[in-house]
Amino acid sequence: MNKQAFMQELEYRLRHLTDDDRLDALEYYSEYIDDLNLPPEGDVCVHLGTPKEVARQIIAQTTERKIEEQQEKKTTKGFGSIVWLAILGIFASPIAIPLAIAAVIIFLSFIIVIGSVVFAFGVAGVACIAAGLATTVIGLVSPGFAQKLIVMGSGLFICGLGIMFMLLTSLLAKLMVKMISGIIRKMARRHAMKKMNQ
Amino acid sequence: MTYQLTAPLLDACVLGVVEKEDVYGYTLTQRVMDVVDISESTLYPVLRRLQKSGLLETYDVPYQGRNRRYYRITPPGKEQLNFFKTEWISYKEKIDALLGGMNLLTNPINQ
Repeated sequence: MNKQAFMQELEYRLRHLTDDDRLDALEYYSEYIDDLNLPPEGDVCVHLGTPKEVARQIIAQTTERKIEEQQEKKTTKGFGSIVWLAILGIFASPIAIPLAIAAVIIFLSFIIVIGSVVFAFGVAGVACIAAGLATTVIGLVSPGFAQKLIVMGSGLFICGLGIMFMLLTSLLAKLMVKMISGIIRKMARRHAMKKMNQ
Repeated sequence: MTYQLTAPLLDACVLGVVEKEDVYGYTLTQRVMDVVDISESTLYPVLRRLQKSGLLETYDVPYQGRNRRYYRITPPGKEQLNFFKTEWISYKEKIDALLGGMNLLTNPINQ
């Protein structure tokens, strides 16, 4: 494969990375191939491997870096792009496409299952707060002083329960992001190391 | 190569080469490849990571109508390299001790 074909395929395989990451890699490899001083139709792959292999290493490393950056900032921002990179990584790995699709589906189902649990907690929280507020308001208009106190008290209690649910939800969400990021990171690292020691 | 290179050791090697003089991707790769068994596409991800974590910085130099990107070590990079060096020395000494140190090759048992 000559330089032009190699660069074209590499660019195609890196198309989902950010411009910054992609252009940096393309410039590096364009320079590197020039420095190889090959004849005009010289085979680049003898030196670098196929564009697919090169792309796989770059995607694996980018994924790992993004996860590290995210963990340093202690936010859950950018989680979507990490999941996306992981899916790209699966497709870039040297397995057959049907298997890759299966792997992506399993991976996504896993995220959806855990995500649903977190979502359910969130909904329970919102429902409790809404019900609590409604009960409190009903308490205000109930006849009799003791009755007002009892109904309003129960309303506030349910509200508090809802707030606890919300706190639990945010904890769970953070835990989930951390866990999934950890898994992706391990996968990416294994990829990178495997290639390195070939 | 009998022994495998781990990621931190490879980082250390790259920082060590760049500390001596600024290099561009091709020469750096050749220099590391002379010593350890890596493929020619191994170093780009390493360089990118070191650059993104502020241990290396780059600058472009025009060369034959195109650019060459040189890598230069930063002060945090030097610090990190010193850390890698002290770690390596202590690790190397421990392994040497386990292997029987320098006597291993000079006094073969069955001579």
